[in-house]
Amino acid sequence: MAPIEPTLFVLGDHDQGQISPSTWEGLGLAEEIRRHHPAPVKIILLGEAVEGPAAQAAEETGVDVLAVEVPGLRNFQAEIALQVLPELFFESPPACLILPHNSRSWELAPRIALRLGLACIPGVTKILQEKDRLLFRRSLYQGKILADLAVETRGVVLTFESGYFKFSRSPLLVKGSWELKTRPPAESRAELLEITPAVETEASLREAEVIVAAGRGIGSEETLDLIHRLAALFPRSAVAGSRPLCDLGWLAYNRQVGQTGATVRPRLYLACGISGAYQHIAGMKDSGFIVSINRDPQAAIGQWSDLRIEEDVKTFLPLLIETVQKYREGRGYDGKMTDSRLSKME
Amino acid sequence: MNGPLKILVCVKQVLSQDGPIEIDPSDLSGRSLFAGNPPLYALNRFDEFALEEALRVKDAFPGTNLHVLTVGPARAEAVLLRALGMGADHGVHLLTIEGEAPTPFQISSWIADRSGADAYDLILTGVMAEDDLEGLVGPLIAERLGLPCAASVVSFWVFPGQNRVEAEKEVEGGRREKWRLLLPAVLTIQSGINKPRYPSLSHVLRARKQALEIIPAAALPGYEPRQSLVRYVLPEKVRTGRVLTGTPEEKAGRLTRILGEKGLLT
Repeated sequence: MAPIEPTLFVLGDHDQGQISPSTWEGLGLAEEIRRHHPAPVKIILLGEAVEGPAAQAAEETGVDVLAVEVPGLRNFQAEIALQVLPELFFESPPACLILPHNSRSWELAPRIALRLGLACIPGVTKILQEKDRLLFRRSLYQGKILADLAVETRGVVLTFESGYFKFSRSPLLVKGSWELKTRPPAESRAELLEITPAVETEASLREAEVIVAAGRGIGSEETLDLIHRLAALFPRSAVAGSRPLCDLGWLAYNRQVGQTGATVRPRLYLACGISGAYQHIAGMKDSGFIVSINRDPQAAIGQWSDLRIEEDVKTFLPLLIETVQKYREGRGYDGKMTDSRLSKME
Repeated sequence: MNGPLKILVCVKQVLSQDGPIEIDPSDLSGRSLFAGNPPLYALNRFDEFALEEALRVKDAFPGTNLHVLTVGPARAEAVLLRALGMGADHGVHLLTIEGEAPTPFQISSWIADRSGADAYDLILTGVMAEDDLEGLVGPLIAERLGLPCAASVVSFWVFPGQNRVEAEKEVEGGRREKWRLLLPAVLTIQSGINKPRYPSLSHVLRARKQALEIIPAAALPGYEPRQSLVRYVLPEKVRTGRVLTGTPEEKAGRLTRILGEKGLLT
């Protein structure tokens, strides 16, 4: 009998018959672990009409796929996944169960970990090897501090933040194998009633070359007026906000940038009073040039900025608005900023 | 369902997000944080939203019995008093020792032991804590008690007569899914769902006279931590993060010049 070998399982995501990009990121995380701790990798896919995605995943990734057809499982349900997953682990216990850090894993990851006797570390951004063990890095306190965690169980459920792990398939181009199991419809105490599409992102936000974004650190709603005035000085600009700011009702949700809002890539992103929690960073980190204005020198937004200005937004923006206005007037006069004007401004 | 609704809200005391937070250099293990002297603590903002939602259910269904529970050292009593001041009926403190850091597996198991599967119709908590940003305790309570759970809830409606709750969850990209769950159920509440009320004088006065139910965590069954903190580390820079120096006026001038040179002002 072949020995039972602990396996790195990646719970794949699929949507409308296609493998989601997060599946590849999960494989990237598995690869990182394999560099320190060789183990077989398998993709698990659950749902209805899962055969197509299973074949696609095996062919494109070169990784073996275990697919489970669950009639009626159209929209992901943690309750059903909790019934299906443990049966899959009789043959090979999970050294890791890897899934993206998203609304599905909020419910599933901790519950399946408790059920299987595993640890659970959400939002992993890095894997480290120390002595004989693996450490898992994640961020705390709005990204100001990171923590390295160790696992004291025989396996762990990991969820990963997007954008940190990349997978490149083996150049040998060997297709993975895939196996399809079918199971009877699962019982659930939860029933999906309706889906409401996301609030449509303000069009100007998607098209803007310059975004002036505000966070809770702007202090008061009145300061938003400065944000609008600054944005108005740039051509093709828009005003955006962090989730806490929209939660306060200071800005409409269709101007929210981040994991639960819009993803933007303007040429210039001016972050005013934004702490830099990853939920926000995920929506703006690919911007061309990032400038942050924040009184708190520790704010995590600093790690993601090209330029940092450690000032209070409320007192600094009037000065910035004035110098930008002067600069633009200067250009309007002779098309060029003279050195004397610049030195006066400084 | 018989009798009035019973709701449990689990709250956490966290370091204030407005204060400084650094790795304490005096502890060479790297497992301590320095957050000012004395450190400032606050009620986790997400839990405050959960508490306000529970109070709104109580407003809609008079007679609802609203309990609030925390796990933490003696200082964590402050969040229970705040919750009672906002209008909760009873406070439960699962008391730990200062400096101890039980893991979500331990915390959730203690809460499940204290509450039991049938004691509450609805268990609410914030979608995560502002300090560790994990979001594990709520779903773990559901699992320990064998209850359905909806995470990241942005609105919900309770139908006590029909033994169900309808909860709208936020999923990726701001999409929303409305689910019907059987009671009892666990909901973890997302931010922005409401505007939490301030404590009222009459409730605060009542809370002062009211005894809290205090249970030392050491008296509860022991559970495996399953995972542990090895050390805190500081984040690495992803971009250069050059800090502009000078007077505020000079910084404004330099920033303007840099933006101009990059062609961002035309």
